[in-house]
Amino acid sequence: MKALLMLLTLTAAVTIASAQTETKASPEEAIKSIIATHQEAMTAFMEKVRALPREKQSEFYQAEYPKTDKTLESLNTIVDANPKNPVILDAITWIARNTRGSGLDAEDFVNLQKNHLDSEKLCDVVMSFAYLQTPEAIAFLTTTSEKSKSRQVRGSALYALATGMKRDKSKAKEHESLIKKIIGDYPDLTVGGRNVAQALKVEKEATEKLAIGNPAPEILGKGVDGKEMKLSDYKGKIVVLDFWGDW
Amino acid sequence: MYPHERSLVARMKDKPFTILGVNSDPAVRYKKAIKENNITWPSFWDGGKTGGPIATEWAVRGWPTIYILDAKGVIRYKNARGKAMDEAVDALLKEMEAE
Repeated sequence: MKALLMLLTLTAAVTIASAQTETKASPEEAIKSIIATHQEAMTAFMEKVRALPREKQSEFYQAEYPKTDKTLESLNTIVDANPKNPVILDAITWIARNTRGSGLDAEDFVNLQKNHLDSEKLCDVVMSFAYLQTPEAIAFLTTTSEKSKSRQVRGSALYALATGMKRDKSKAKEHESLIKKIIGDYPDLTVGGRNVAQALKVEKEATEKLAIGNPAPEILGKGVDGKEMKLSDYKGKIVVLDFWGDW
Repeated sequence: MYPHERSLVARMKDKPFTILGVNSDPAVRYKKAIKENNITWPSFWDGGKTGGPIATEWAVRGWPTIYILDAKGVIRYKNARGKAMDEAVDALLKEMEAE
């Protein structure tokens, strides 16, 4: 009888303990599972969109797009409770990407700067800030590009700044000097596995070569019928060179 | 954009002028577009995708991208569309006639 009681007590204790580990998942596991749940909802939603006839897709898309507010709330709770834990950087990246930054508050930026400035993982975070274009995000990227001890993070922050202002004509000069800095100071900068400094260099050289007033480089190519053509065939004519696609 | 380009081509019928396309569509789609939109001007076919060799060399990141070249083959305007394209072509034509 005594043995039985002990066994019962033990079982109860084990049950409680396992229930606790379930509710007290590590922040890392919790973040992964919250993001995965939202991703599943997104995948299911996209499948539904694709199954609809074309003319109905847009309306359904607008009306039924999976809401981010619950996911955001759960992620924010973990972020606020674990300011120093580097795993919250994944949550912040998700929030920046999926709420266009509206899910971030001033405290998040302060915390990133205070506790995570030198973490290599900040590379993903800064890239997720590229298109936010809020004063807080721009200030954070600028500070990070100057003060992070990680070279890769500083370079990524510069690249995020440059990416964000690329389409803003009023910032053309600033953009140009950022690109120059990236190419000069971070020639080995990779983002998402791609050497972006090299790509920027190629793009810059092409843009310079194709400036107004320069002779157009020759184009040797084929028509869709396979017949060879070249740009210089049209010398003596004004040419509207039109890069186009039917989409 | 096709209607504007068609009317520009019609207006320049007897002038030293051409639209020269660089098309990034898959071949089937390209052929269909030519037929359906009555495209009479020539195009290079850039391999059926947006990252084709010509678009890459010309650093094209957005479509359409327009360069206007004078009769000597010098780049004179970038991304002039609609009315701006008409004006650019007219200015270059005037320049040729003055020479």
